[in-house]
Amino acid sequence: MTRSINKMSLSTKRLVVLLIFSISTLLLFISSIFIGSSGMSFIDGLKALFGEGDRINVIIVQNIRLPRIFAAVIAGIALSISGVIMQTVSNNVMASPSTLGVSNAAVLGANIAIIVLGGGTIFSSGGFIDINNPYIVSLFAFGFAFLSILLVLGLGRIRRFNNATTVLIGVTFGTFCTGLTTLIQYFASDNVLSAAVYWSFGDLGRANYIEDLIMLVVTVIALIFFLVFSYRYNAMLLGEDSASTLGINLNAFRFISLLLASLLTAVVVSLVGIIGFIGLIVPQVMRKLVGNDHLPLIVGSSLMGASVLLFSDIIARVALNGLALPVGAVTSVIGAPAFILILLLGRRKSE
Amino acid sequence: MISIRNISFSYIKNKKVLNDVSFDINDGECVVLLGPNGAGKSTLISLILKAHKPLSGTIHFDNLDIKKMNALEKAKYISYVPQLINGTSLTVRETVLLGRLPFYKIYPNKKDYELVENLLKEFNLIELKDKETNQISGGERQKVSVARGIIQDSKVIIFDEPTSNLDIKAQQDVINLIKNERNKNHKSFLISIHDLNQALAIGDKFVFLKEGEVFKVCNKDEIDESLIESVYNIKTKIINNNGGKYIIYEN
Repeated sequence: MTRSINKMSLSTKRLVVLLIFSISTLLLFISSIFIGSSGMSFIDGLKALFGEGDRINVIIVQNIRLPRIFAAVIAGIALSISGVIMQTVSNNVMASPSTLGVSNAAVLGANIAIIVLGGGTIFSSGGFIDINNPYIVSLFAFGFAFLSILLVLGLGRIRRFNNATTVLIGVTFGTFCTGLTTLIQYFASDNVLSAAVYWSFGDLGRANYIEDLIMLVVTVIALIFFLVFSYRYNAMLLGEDSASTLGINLNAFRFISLLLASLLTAVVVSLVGIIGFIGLIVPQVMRKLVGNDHLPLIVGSSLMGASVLLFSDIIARVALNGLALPVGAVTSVIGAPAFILILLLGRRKSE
Repeated sequence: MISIRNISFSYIKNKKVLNDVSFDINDGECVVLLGPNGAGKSTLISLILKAHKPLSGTIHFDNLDIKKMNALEKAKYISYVPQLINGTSLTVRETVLLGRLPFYKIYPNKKDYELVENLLKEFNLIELKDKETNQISGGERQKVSVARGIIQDSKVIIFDEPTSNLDIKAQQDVINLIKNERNKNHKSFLISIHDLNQALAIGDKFVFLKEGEVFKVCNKDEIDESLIESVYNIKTKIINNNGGKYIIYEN
């Protein structure tokens, strides 16, 4: 199939890829509603979707599965487009949504809330660890992530750093946050420590409709901005001198782009924890599939990000029959070998 | 018209890369920037592109100070043709289409696509339009860069060493494209170039830079062996043939 795709004209190829990922997102979305560990039948699930039938089933579908599925779609889109923009703007294919240290700062904030401020006195019930005050924790995670964005980008703007220096500062700052997190965890009791570690696993089950809505608003704003200015991102691939003669105020544009991309990550990480890999790999795969025109690239990455996270979440929910795995681990464990495979196949093709 | 007045610049304190550089680029004029490596050609271009701020001096486009121009105003005034040394992951058509970026409302319209299509045909690049520019030859890449610069339809086009790193055929192609464009439109060009014969083939006015200062501004007739020797420290012989002027490098 890859060979026949390669023979198509570029625009046909793009359409086909976008269509495939639209369909896969739709199919995964629908099947997610009916797949789970409760043993509910398809008919019961369908009834529950429209608020009829068994009350437990209605609660499972409407209050547990649906918000989680929406979270998968929105977070998948958010992390993927954040990755695209980070990579393009920092001119670095290894850049990802957390390149500027945003995720590390969010984890530090969550750890402070859970361990130092006791926002995470945990209770154990039937083998599950829970955090009893998720809003304080999310608020702290977001606060720290946001401060880190202001610090890294602010420094870059005041001292007029180039891209490489900004990325370096971000990575260094991330390491600094991780160091502080380790120190805090070192002095924590076992109970709070497990709550803190548990928090950092990405888990879409944490999201309810309110959290979905928060993620949705930020994602839609960022997506519109990225799509409206998609051609400017193309121009940035030509290099700074060329981009600046094409009518782009580079410093301001770069600043807003990095700000929005980091903000997306900050919101997602503080609400559902760290979901690695998607923001790095989805844009890479899409660049190979549809090329680097940012209009199809951003749309394609959104669709593929949503698909991948929906798929990973299905695996996370059914793999251990009853015990949900952290989806952040699933994306990496499945995604990393898959990506290496893609790279190997691609290499053979080009030879 | 671009007027460059008393421009000085340094990357490191007390070490001037440009010192009191002044000259004009008149409407419709092709100005060639000459001088050995390190003379300040690239720095001067980056100052005109506003990538750096000069230490002192001014640059005016007509009567507008470039310090006060926003990015979009500047884009309608100058376009820049860099050497696309490695190419990018954008395709040929996507790259040329970016030349129209200053005219987009949000996305390119039908007219933009038509202009690009026609220019690609004219430049013999149409077969390559869906190829990424990192997959084509250096000569083709440079033609893409020239096409993108031309389609921007600015008053001034700046070429940064348009023929360096190309084989002889590709160098000729690029020089011919630039010449054709000169004959068609009444645009101003600023070209930095190493090959003196190519410079003579396209230039009206020649600005020789040496160690960051303007050594001489002159027209074609005033270029002679002694001028070249004092700028480049090489011996040459100039031949006049059929109205053309050719430089032979001697050992």
